Amino acid sequence: MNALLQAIAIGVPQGALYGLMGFGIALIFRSAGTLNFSHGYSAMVSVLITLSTIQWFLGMGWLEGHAALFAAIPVGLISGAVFGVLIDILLMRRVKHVSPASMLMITLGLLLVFEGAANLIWSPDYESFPRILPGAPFVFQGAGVLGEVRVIFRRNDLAVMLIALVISLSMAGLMKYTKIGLAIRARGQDPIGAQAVGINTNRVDSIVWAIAITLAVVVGILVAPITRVHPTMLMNTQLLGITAAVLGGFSSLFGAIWGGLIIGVLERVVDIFPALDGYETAIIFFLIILVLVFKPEGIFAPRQGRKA
Amino acid sequence: MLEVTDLAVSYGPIHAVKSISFTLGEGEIVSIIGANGAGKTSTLFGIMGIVRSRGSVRLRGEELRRKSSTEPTAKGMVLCPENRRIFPGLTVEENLRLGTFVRGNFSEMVKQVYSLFPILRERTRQLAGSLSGGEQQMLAVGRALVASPEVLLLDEPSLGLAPVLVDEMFRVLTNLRDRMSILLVEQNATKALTISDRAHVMQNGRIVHSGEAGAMLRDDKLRKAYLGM
Repeated sequence: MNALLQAIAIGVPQGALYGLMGFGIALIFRSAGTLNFSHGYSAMVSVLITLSTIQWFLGMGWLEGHAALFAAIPVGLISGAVFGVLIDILLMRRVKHVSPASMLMITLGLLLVFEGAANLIWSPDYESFPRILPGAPFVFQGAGVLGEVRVIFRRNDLAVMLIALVISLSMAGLMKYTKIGLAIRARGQDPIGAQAVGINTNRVDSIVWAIAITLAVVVGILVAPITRVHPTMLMNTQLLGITAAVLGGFSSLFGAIWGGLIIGVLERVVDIFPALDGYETAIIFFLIILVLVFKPEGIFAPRQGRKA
Repeated sequence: MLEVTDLAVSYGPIHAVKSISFTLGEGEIVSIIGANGAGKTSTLFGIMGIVRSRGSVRLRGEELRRKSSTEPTAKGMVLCPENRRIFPGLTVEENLRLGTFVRGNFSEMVKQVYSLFPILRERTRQLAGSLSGGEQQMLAVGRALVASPEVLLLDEPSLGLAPVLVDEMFRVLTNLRDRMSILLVEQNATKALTISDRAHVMQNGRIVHSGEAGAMLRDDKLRKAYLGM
């Protein structure tokens, strides 16, 4: 029982990050029409930019300790938004009308470009990255109806969960109640219809890319203290983010968040059983196969509303 | 009202519209008729800036920039596209709200649309994808009308509708003529000519015949040659 609680305490924040990653991937898939294989890699470059900015602030003696981190975060986020807009305007816009496959190939190519750039400009070394909330972990200890309980909760995970929650709620609000959110959903559902009401679909696509990559940078900054900073730091997160999006159903954006949480917890629950050690990823992908076979629209896909 | 001069639309090597010109007067209904693939929809997309086109499009004498559909729509030219193109995962009300994305007063115009198509009022919170075909077509026309167009471009409003609904749709369109000019693209030539003032026949990207709608209806030779009826 204690092990299960501990698995949830570590798995939920981890899963929230997969979920945010998956949300951005599903957003680009639904609105801009491609599966972005370079999602985590562009964010990785932004994390490197964030780290360099921190080191620069510290090196110049302008800021100290945590102030440098918080001053560098906006730089990283903005660089993510800029990457998103540039990818859309310089690459995607030119091939959008050709075929979805060409967009897909470009994102695969970008993956290599971002990884190569990171190796070239920075280095393949692992560098440490500061936590948002440093300090000793929380320890919940006591005896209750469940018997002797002792659960450790990492302090930084509190920041992870709060940020994930705030982002999820604000994205839900954006999509549901704002004009641009409605335009993003409309563009994904019918691009010709969207243009018929005067929506500039090219502009919507740029906004979607900017939002999605910026979210991936947030994930990168939150996950960096654990993975440390290196060119493939977000490979696993991206893979499980795509998985979260599949699990949640690409047709429902917020399904990806739930999908992420399920994967995050599952990963840690599998850890409880020594016999399954090392099979976490295999089990998760087996789950995906089951979902694709039995409920290909995703387990959180809305029931109605799809009609030719 | 609307003046189209030397409009041409190409998709790579395919010339869908080959330099056509026509006008639409204040309060007029003008139809463009012709077979599948004649270039009718491409003409509308070109005018709206949905596809790239050459030539000049003037609304009330003012040249429209057609980099995207935003400016033509904002200036008062609104398209109701072929195949409805409503947003299936959004509610009826959200669909109508999007109709006023760049133009029109939603709270005021939505009342007019509901009085024109009362069935939509009962479906406000329903997802548009769950509507019947006829209701979806009404929603598509309603979504164009909430923008209070001065020029309404209608692409095949009768497509896939039961005959009784086609009559209903054309009755509604006739009633709109005192409020806006209408450019109607139709395969149902008889219906279109009945409510139009003038018409153009398109074939292979060109206008091959133009005339007064009533006269074209009576012209047997023309009907046999171009309209297959």
